[in-house]
Amino acid sequence: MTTKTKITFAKGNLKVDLSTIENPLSKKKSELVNKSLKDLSDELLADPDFMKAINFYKANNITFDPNIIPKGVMKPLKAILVPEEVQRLLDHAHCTNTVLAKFDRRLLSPAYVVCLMGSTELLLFDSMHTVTVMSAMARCGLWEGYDESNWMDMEYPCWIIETDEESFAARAALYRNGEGSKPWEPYDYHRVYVRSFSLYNDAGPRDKYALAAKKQKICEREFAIPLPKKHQQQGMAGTTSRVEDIAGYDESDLDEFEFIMKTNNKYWHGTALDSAAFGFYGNLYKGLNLAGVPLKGKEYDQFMNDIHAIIKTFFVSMGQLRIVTSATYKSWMELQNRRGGSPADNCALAIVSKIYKRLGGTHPVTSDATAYVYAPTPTARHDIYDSLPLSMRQKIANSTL
Amino acid sequence: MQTLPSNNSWLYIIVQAQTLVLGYGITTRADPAERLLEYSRPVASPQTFIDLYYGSTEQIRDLENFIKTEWKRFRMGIFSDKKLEWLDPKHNIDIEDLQHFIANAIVNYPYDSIKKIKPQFLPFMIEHAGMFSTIDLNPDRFLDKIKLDNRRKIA
Repeated sequence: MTTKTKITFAKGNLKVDLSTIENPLSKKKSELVNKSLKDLSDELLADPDFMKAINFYKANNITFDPNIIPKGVMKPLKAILVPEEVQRLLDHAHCTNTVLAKFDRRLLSPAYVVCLMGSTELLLFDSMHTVTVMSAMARCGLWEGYDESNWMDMEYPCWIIETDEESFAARAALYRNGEGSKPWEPYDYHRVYVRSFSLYNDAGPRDKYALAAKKQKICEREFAIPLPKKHQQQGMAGTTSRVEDIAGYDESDLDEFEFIMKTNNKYWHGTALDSAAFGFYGNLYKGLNLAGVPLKGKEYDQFMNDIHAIIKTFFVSMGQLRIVTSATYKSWMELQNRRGGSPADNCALAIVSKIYKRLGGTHPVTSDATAYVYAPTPTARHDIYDSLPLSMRQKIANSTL
Repeated sequence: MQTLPSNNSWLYIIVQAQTLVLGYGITTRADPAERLLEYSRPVASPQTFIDLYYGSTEQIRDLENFIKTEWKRFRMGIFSDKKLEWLDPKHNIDIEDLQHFIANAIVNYPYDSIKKIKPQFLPFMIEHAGMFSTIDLNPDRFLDKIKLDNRRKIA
């Protein structure tokens, strides 16, 4: 008889000094500066790639006349046309809920139009919903001095681009609606929500900003400071890039979010928060709660130490657990002649729970432990566990809790 | 000189002979000399591994990832945003900084399977190919447990 190796959770002792992390949201209002265009252009002029582009123009004696910059001009609504070849269908819900119901004149943007040489028509390529709502409001008498009889004479600021290139409106529409702009990443929304609440006490619509600020506080307390994707300290211990995951938690599931962050910090302090934590701990929390299993006490603590011993011994880290889970899921799907894709967010927990049961664990596990079993006939059965790498299954077979 | 992958792998510290730039990397091959040749041939200059660490492939991979992410800001970037496994000399990170950083990760994560090749077998050169062929049979001959100098500050 061979002796099995007892696995135990080896608690880490890596240190994290949060003061070395440049957390953009830790700044007070007095520390936030309004940069001048000199400051910002200085930054750009120090970029070698940017200077290569500048030097190309200089080498070829290419300069630009400031008078060719498009102009902002007030024009009557009747002058504006919406070309079907460029514009998408009018979104009534957007007009109603976003533009009109929360109407704020400070959020209006100019009508972006192309004026072909020799024509008086202004071809709108952006701000269609805004200008259409403005027109409808004027027709209904919501703009003082205008109604159905004269609304077309109401003037609106237009950003006019004069050109003789007939197809330019289409190109400009693409540029204005994504191809020429840098979309905001989830962190940018989070940053503005948190600052709106922390600097101005603005809780936002349905307390959205207040909730983001609460989550930011939990993250900071649990050593997982959200950082933008290109932050130079991204990936370091004590940080997280998973702002899109964080944004998914509402006030109603804040307890689950707190559990995830707290548990991750307890077991993986000194490393960056891996995306696997959300699915793994989130499903664990929901599953155990559903079954009425207490999330405290000696037995629970032992169970948590055991499942973390499993992860650390056989997978090493949450990141490796995620990678092995994806590969295992793919193999398991291929056995069924199905395409792999990404596993659902409970797959890693299912695999770890199956290992826990095999090693003789007796604490209640979530129902995920019985998932991922392919049974095409009453006698044929293939559990995802059997798709784990052979070396890992051998190691598991020689281990005990 | 091709060898089959084993369940153990190597993490190495390298100082490029022609530039003296400090770097690191891993190889899953049984003989680290194969990886060393890949560094040497393209630059027509023999290279050496200053340090070698040996342990389970899973732990070695995770340790490499830890170094990559924790020290991303110190890594060289030659083309756009792509960061290399070479440390930019402008940060003045020396071999001892890297050794201490690795030792801290191994001791405090902990990566319990990873040990360091004894000093008498280092630096490792191409002509030492085959030197570790019996390492799995006789690990104590080649490997030392990692010790951490707590007086040293981690970069």
